[in-house]
Formats: sequence, C-alpha cells, structure tokens
Amino acid sequence: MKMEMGERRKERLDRGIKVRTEGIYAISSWEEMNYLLVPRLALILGMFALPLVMPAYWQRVISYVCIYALLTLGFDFLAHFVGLVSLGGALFVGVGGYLAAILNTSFGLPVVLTIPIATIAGAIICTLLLLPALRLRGVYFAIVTLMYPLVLLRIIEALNILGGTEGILGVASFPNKWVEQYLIIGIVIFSLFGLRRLVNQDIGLVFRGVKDNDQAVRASGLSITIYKSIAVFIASGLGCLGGAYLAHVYMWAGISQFALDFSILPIAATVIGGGGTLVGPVLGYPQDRLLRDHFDGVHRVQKRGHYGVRPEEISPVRTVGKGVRSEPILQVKNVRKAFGGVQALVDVSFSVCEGEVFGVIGPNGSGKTTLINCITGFIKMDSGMVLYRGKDVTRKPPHKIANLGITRTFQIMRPYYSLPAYKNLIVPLFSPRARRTGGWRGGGKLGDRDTVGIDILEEIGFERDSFVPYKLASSLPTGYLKRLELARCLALRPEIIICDEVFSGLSMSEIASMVPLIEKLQMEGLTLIMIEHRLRELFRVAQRLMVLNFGEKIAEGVPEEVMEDENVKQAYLGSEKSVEYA
Amino acid sequence: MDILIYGTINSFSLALMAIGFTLVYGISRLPNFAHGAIYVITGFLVWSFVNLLGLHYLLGILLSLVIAGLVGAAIYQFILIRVRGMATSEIIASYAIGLAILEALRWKGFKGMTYTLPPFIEGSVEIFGVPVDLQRVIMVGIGAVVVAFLWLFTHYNKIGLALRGMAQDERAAMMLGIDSDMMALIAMAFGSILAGLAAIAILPLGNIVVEAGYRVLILAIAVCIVGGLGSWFGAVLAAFIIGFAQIITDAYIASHFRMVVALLAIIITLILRPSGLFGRQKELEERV
Repeated sequence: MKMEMGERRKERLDRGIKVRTEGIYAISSWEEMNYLLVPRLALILGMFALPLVMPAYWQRVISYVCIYALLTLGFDFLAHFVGLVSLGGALFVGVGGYLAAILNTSFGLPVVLTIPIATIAGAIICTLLLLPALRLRGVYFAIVTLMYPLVLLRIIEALNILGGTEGILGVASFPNKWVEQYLIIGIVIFSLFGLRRLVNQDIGLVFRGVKDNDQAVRASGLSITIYKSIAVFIASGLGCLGGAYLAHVYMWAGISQFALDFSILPIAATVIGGGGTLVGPVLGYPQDRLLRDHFDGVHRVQKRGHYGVRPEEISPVRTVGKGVRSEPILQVKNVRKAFGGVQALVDVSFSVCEGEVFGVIGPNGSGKTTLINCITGFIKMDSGMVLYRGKDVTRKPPHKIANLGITRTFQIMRPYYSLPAYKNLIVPLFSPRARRTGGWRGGGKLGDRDTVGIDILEEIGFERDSFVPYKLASSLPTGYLKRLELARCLALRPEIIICDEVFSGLSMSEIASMVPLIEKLQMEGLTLIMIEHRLRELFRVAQRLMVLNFGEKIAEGVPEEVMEDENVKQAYLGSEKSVEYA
Repeated sequence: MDILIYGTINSFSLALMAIGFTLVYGISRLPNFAHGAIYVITGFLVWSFVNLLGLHYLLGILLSLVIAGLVGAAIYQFILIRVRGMATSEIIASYAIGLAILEALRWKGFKGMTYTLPPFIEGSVEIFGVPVDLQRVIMVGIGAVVVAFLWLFTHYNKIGLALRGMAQDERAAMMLGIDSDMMALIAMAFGSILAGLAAIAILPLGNIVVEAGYRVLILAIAVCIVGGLGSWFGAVLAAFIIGFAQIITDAYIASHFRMVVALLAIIITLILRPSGLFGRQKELEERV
C-alpha cells in the first residue's frame, strides 16, 4: 500500500517533466527509440532506393510523384495547420517553372542557380499576388487561388509574351538522371521533415492558433496577416521549387504548367493520405494519441475539485486595490456605432482611472460587447475616440492595441482547442510585447515559453503538478477556459484587461474562486474593465460602475448610487408609468 | 449602338448561364461546380436525340431538359448529400463530377467542330440599324422569360416560397416542416434544368465543344461572385456588368481578353468586397 502511494506520487512528479520533454523522453529505451526511428528510416531508405529498383520508364514517374509530393505538403500545411484552403498548386508550379526557364534561357544561369532563385523569387511573387486575398476564408480563398493561374495563362496567351502558347524552349537539363532524381527525392525528404518540425515549433503553434481561432491570435497581439503570409510563402516556395525542377526536367516551360491538375491532385492525395499529417506525422501521431489517452485515464482517478484558491482564503469584505490613482489611463469619448439601422452605441463616453476596477452593466443587447469590440479595435467605430494614457489609439488594428497593453477576454471563450492548455500561451508569448516584457512575471526578458506559460497558468489556478495544464483545451471545463482567457491576457503583461463576462456560465464554487483572483490582479496594479451580469460579485470588486441601455450611457458612479438611480431601475425592471398605462 | 445591342445579348447569355448556379447556391449553399458539365451534356443530348434517334427538335429539347434535371437530382442524392456543409469537399466533389462527365464525353469522341444545333428560326432582323440574327433575339427572350418565371415562381408558389425560406434560414425552415434535403434536391434539379435551358438557347449560335463546360462554369462563378453569391437580383445585374465589360473589351482592346475580364472580375470582387454587390454573407464584422 505504501509502495503504491510512493509510486503514484513519483508518477505525478514525473508527469510534468514527461509532457514537457516529449522528444527526450522517448530515448529512455530501445523500444521507444525503435518505435520512432524505424518508420522514419524505412521511409527515407525506401525513397532513396526507388531510382535503383524502378525500371527506366518509372524513373520519370518518380520525378512527377515527388513534385506532387511537394505540392501536397504545401497544401496540407496551409489547409490543416494554417486554415487556408489553397487551390494554388498550378499558380506556384507555373510561376516557378517560367521563372526558372527565363533565368536559364535569357540570362544563361546554370541549374544550380536557377532553381533556388526561382524558388525564392517565385514564392515572393505568389505571396504578393495572394496577399490581398489573405483575409478571405474557406471557399473564397480557394476560388481566388484557383482563378489566378487561369488569368496568368490567358494573359500569356492573349499578349503572346513568354513564348505564347509555344512556351519557352531550350531550357537546360540536369547533367544526368541520377542527379535529377536524387535531387528531388532529397528535397522532398528535407521538406517533409522540415515542415513536420516547423509545425511543432513555437511559430508552428502560432500558425495552428491562426487556424483554430484567428480572433484570439489578434487579441494576443499578433498580426494574422503577417503569419498567414509567412505560411503562404513557405507553401508557395515548395510549389515553385517543384515548378522550377519540372521546367528543367522537361527542358521546357509552357502554359500547361498552369494546368489545374497541379491544384486538384494534391487535394486528392491529401484526402487519400489523411489530412493534417504531413505524411511524417502519420508516424508521429499515433504516439501522441497514446499519450493523450493515457493521461485522460489517470485524470479520472485523480479528480480534484478546487481551483487554486481555497474557500477560506476568500475575504468577505471588499478589498480595495493598491491604490486607485486619479489620472485616467483610458478615456473613451463619444463612441458611436450603428449596425445597419440599429444604433448599437450612441455617444458613449467614460474614463477609467489607473488601478481601478470599472464595471459595465446593462440589459442584454445594450451594446456592452460592442463597446469592447470598438475599444480593442475588433470592429471599427463610426465616430468617437479612445485615448490610452493620453495617446490616440482609436483606429488601430486589434494586435497593435493588444501590444500597447490593452487586452481583452472573449465572452464566448476562444482557446486554441487543438493545443494543450499551456501551449495556448505560446501564441501570446510570441507577440512583440511579450518578447519585450517577458510575460506576466518576466523582468524584461522572455525565458523558455513553455516554462513561462506554465508559471502563468499556475498563478491563475491551474495546479502545476496535476494534468490540467497539459490537457487539450477542448477537454477543459468552462471554469478553466475562463481562466485560460485571463491567462492569455496576462501573458502579454497588460496594463488593462477588459473582461467580457468572466463570471457567466460558472458554477457557484467556480465564481467563489474567481473573485479573489480578480482582487489579486487589482492588487498587482492592473486596471480592469469588467462587463458583467452577475451584479453581486461585481459589486464586491468594482469601485465604479457604468450602466448602458440601448447603446446609451444612463448612469455612472459608485455601485450603491447607481443602483438607486431611477433610469437604471427602469432599464432593469421596466417603467412604472408604462405599467400604469397598460 | 453595336456595343449596346451586343452587350445586352451577351449579358442575357451570361445571366442564363449563371442563374442555375446562383439558384442552387442561394437555396442550399452548394457551389455546384458540375454546372458547366450539365450545360455541355444537355447540348450533346439534344444533338444525339435529333441526329441519332431522329426525334423532333422540340421533343429532343424537352427530353434533354428532363434528363438534365434527373442528372442534377442524382448528383445531389447520391454524392453531394454526403459532403453537404463541408465547403471544400463540396467544391472538390462537384468539380470532380463535372471533370468526370466532361472528360468522359471527350474520351467517347464528342470533340471537334462537328456538333452543332440548328437555330430555332433562321434569318435575322435589323434593330436600330444593327443586324441581329433571330436566334439571338430568341435567346434574349428566353432569358427574360426565365428570370420573370423564377420571380413569379418563388413569390407565388408554395414550393417556391419554401425554397426561399430555405435560402433565408435553413434551420428555421426545417422547424416549420420544410424538408431541407428535399428542397436542396429540387433546387439541384431546377438548377440543372436551367443550365440545360441555357445550353439550348445559346448553343445554336456556335459549336458544341467540351471546353465550353469549363468556360461556362467560370463565367457562372464570375457572375455569381460579382453579384453576391446566392443573390438572384445581384446575379442578373452582374451579368449586365460583366457582359458589357466583355463587349467593350472586345471592341476596344482585343477579343483575347474576354475571359481575362471575367477572371479578373472574380479576383477583384473577392478581394475588395467578398460578399459581392448584393451578397448576404456576413463579413468579418460578426460578433466577436
């Protein structure tokens, strides 16, 4: 019995280490190492053996297969790790092919130069072409990428440039077939493992964040356009590389390189091969899966009810913060916003002092969330002004505002569901502000992001040596997800946190532990703007209140006074007059 | 004057090509990328009925339209119903079906310039001094009738109203007892018949070629995107915009650029205003 206890305790201590050192952990036994190594070696050796064992005719096929493999990698990467469905294979191959052909025939560059130049330059061209379309989603992005090669093809035909329908002839070929085949096989293997590694790096996690939840990425202070363009650059680079190679294999570049086969076949290949796997992860994923199931199983045995703060720690009296200073940190002036004919906000003005907890209440549909969206830049206000420490931040995009230190939570939680809780914090920790400040407790220097993330989570109520911080966000209960929202804000080391209904949807005990957390944040000197429906809890933490009704501010002041206000009573309980007339 | 008249004619032919596509998308949110294939197959069906079986022209047309409708319904019932709601899969599946139909036709030898449909009535008239052959006039007439019929049908007929209900809010429509799949099936059948009708009205002006399938698909998408996916009024208006733009390009630049105009229209619209002129698609300003 004692033995068992000891083992369980040891296991619990190991758990955190194990999760955070996935890669190294596997080297602990031959069994584990073979499990990882054998499939990879089989793939690499198998591919290198292909040109040796295949009959002559099939050797041309190998080149094709490899080009399609590159395109498929690019498609899978964009679709399943960045969330952009691209049918641009034909665009990439065409641009790469023509560039290589022009460089070779007109400028006389040798193959060793044309392929890398065509790859980089082609990727830049494709990224620039697709840049304006990056904000489109799903089908719309797919249609744009599908149309580009058709346009280029028709323009080449119509203007009769670049050899017109004939194409560019006389492109140099490879010195011999061995170079030709091993070059492309090497490139494929390199790209495969390179991409597989990339998506598990911190920047890869940002890409996955963009796919899971682009709004949350913006709230974390990162520009989604920049990260999407980086991803498109990578994918189009792979495609252009394939195209340039193809031009040299054919010794020709022509309009058939814009053929839609290059767009459609990679999708077919991805569908058949399994999306989101990048082929390599096909081998890696089962292992991930096993670990995850294992954890879930143990967690059930190990369930614990509290959320970091024990009930006795909750103070019955309202704590006042480190000191509310009188100078305003945020001033909002005459904000107006209309959706079609509906006036969502009418001339709302207020100011928040540094270190204050400022409550915003109002019936449903009174414009509270719209107000947040306007302040944080998620929607453009029609008129009005937001001053942050006296500086105008009115029309800045969300990621810039977040980088200035104004962060927000979302009413409907927006975690990155496919990432573990602590990896969720990698995205905000990747932002310029977090790099500068070092995260919530960082002294201006950002350490290892995993460690910083877990530290923040612990502080906000995720027990470090339990499973909770390592579980997938999709498997966490509401209480933890609300905390994760707050943690995302804290990772930026903000000055202001705007909370959109952090208490709603929580159980009584979850609320009971949330209140001291809010108080603690205020004690640390943070300014909080809280939108709430739970008045009792709000009154405990808020120094001042503002009431919205139908987009207008109807009252402002200390809670006790505001609740005695006639207008407020009317808004919440209905007018007494109307009852009389009824 | 030339530009005005031929622009109008071109616009009506674009509207005919696009209206089936926009009908299906507007009602069931299915982008039917097999649209062009159905257009071409109807043309070949009519040709086969008339030339191989020796049927009367009108009978051949009616039979082909029925078959086009059945093909559309079958595509939905057996294939698209399985991927409904997955936007990318819908495109891939329907495009694959279209590709299969068109390439099968090519493989079976339906290619080259030998396949033509006779015009309904020979001859031509002069409108404001511009000679126009009667077939083009008839095509404009068919286009106008189709638009008018659709408007009446969807405003004064129970099935039409149900289709509009689906288009506005599928879940609410289902709660009111409208069978979503049935309506999508009807929409697909209708859309395919409209594609066939477009083929019958337009094809006598030229040859039936497999490549037309791809061209018609792109033109239909261009019109629908510029007009706003799913908006019928927008589609008709966009047909006029693109139609005139094409004819003007023809007259002042070069006829090679006709397709470039349509393709650029798609790209520019999507980049500047993804919801098109009259689309109801919510932009990024959804609730966050």
